[in-house]
Amino acid sequence: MITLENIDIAYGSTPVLSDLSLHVPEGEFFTLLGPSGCGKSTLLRAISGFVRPSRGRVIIDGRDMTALAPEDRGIGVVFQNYALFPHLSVYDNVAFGLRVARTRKKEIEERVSEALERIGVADHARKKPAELSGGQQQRVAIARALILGAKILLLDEPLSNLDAKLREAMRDEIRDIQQRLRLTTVYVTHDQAEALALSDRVAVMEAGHLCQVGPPRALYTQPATPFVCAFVGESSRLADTDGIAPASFQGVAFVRPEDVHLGEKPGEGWVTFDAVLDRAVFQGARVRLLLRRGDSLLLADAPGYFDDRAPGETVTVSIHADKVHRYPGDPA
Amino acid sequence: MTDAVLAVGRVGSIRGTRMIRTTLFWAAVLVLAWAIVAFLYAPLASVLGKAFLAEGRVTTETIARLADSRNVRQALWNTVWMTAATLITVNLVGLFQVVVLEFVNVRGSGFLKIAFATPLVFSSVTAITGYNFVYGDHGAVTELLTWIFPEMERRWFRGWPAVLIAHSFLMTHYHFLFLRAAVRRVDYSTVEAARSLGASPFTALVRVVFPVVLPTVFAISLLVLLSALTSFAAPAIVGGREFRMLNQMILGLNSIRRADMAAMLALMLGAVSLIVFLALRWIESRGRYTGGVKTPVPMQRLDIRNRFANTAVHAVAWALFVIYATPVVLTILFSFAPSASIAMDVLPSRLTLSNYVTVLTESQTVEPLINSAVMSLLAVGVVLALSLFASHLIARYRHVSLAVLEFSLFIPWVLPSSLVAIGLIIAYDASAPILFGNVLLGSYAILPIAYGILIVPMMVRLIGASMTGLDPTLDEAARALGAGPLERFVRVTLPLLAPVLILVSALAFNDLINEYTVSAFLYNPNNRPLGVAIASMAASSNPEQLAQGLVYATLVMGFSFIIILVADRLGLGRAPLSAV
Repeated sequence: MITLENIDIAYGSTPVLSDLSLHVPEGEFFTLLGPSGCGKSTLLRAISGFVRPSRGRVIIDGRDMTALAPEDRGIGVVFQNYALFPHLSVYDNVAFGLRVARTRKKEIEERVSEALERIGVADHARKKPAELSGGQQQRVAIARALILGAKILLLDEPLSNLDAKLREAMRDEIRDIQQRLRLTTVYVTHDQAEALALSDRVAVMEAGHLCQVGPPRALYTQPATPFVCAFVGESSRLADTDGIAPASFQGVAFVRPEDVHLGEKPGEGWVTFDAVLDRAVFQGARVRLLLRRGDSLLLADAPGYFDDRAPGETVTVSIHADKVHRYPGDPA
Repeated sequence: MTDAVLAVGRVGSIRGTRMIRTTLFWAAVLVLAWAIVAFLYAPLASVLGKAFLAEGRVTTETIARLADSRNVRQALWNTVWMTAATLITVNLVGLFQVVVLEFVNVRGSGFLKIAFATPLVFSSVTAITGYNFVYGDHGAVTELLTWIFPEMERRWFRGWPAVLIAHSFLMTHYHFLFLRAAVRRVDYSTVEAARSLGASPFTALVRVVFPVVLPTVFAISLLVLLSALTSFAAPAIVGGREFRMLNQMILGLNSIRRADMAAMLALMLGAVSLIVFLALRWIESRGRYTGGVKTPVPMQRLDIRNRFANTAVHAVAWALFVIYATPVVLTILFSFAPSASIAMDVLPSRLTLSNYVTVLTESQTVEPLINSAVMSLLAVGVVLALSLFASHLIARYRHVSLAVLEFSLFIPWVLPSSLVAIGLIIAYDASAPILFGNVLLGSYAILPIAYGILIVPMMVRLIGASMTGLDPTLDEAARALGAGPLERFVRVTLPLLAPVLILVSALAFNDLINEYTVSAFLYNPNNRPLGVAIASMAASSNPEQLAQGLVYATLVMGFSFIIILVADRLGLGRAPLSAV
């Protein structure tokens, strides 16, 4: 559905994306994940047509859209701050695209009313955007983006302005809409939990490059680079790989907190060692342990009732060698 | 001496200081109250009395006489239609400028911005003189045009077309300052949202950006309406005999000793100004559109993809550049030209400093400059002191009398300059008890006093706003450290306010240095100010005098330029529109 071929984009003399290629099949929920400034929003803007690549092609539904203006692409876009027109009512915001397309008044009324009903803001149709809550504003922004029947939906960090609880609820709603309408969706976020929860596939980006593209589980369990390992989920970098990796290993190694087990584990592949408890942080269902082993700070998870250790005490932990992510290269 | 004696002495000293302080405080209150009654209420009451009272009874005779006068009817009609036409042309030019500077990519927009900013420094009588010099009968542009089209009428820049042209290009500074600021506040992602919904950049401009900035356009239109309605320099200098507007009529009626008719016309202008001011406040109170956006995306300029439209926009933008830049450049250039070259050449034959030497060394020519500088400084100094005191009272205390004080100090905002002038003339053309038996009309002091009245609202509003914005804990901290009111004011408040005070004073001085309307009504041989001198030189056909006028204009422009640069850094465009 969406194919990007060898995309180069630069702002002035600063390259933002270089030689980037990507394919998003029809109906997929695809997420661009990365830290601020990695180029994920720029990539989204290249798909929507607001940024023109200096090289490469943007192909949508088999058509080369690279030179096409945003208004001619027929793509729904939801902006980070929703970009609702402040001078127009909720109804008029949603009707905007239909009016630009010179749709008949009767049809506009029907389609807008139906859209507002579907997203649960029909009662607020006459209100101005400033009178709505963050969640309602976002629903209106989605309804507006989809009113023209777009089959592609682009969302640029749409949940970043919402509080934690609403964010979770809206996350489910977005996924639900995407599934129901079979939308090909490209979603930009820097929140890895959001990316893992929503996506069919995720592309992790760093400094204008794609580090890894794959399903959330694969990214988490088989991170291709140290950056992906560190950015997706939590991990501890191991300074000392004695017994965990072959003696000849030169590189960096990471372990996930859930793979650091308390106590001694007998059997092949297990490495057991002592660490000093730095701090125990109660997090409800679990207790996050911050352990120190030599120069390494090791994260481990213990059950919620784990509260009988004081900082400075020695804790025995075991790690299975298969659960250690090793990346050859310069350890520095 | 025992501790007890020392303590008694200290208490006595504190009591003495407090008594002096209280006396000084009430003396200052008295001076402020006297100034308000003498220079705001008494002139206004005199104008009302002159307009509506005859031999101790209320009369509408003056209105009837005004209605009977063909000249007055003509001036009224001229003013009405010229104001309407100015509203249309200024909005067309101003909106186009803002689109070119903020919404689309036009080559050389940096140069265009400088040209479009010139009305900020090239305004009032200075600008009209410059326009007359360049486009007038012997102006450089007219010389060039008649050389190309020998049959062309040399007096093309005269009458209503000249006034309308001058208005159209000299009243766009509100758009430059406030509409640009409003467009910059529009969330650019709304433009992108509109485009993602199929709207072209032009449609997005018309249906998304324009409605959001519409309240600002309305507010600016009201300011333009007010400026056009009370226009004086343009019709006086380039309008000629055939085109007169209301302010000229008021001056004329006053000079033929028909003060009652002049007062009535000035009151009519005042009433319209009041309505405009109230409308402006209403628009401001409605606030601007917000979408609850926490992180608006800054406005970005778009490329015009249609080649024809792009060429047309470039052509109009650069034509405007020429219109704006030519009078400024030629005024500056010819101020350095030998007088033989002035009104003869399209460009100066050579450059010389002799005009500047003449203006700055000969007593006759340097006198208006000194007069205006001294009178403006006097007005700014006195009003600054009174405004500081009044703002301090308004910010610190809550009392109904202070609400009256605040209201009183803002009265001149809604008074046209001609009404201020007529008020002073009618109230103080004879010995007045409130002025301790003095006659103000014909005295040197009348102009600094009138200047002071003009700048009071701006100074009180800006100083008051800064004072309210000061952190009150700083004053409390100084108090806890033992500082008295005067010490706290001098050591804490004043240094914190200093940048604003300097800026406000400079802006006020800049407004007054070439003030024309009030000056034309009130000047006398003892205090002939710069504005009047420039206007008389503009009308002169003597190249020497024209050269001196150009020197004055260039000096005023240079000064204004420095002031505007400083003001821009301190956020002039962010000031509320009703503060203008």
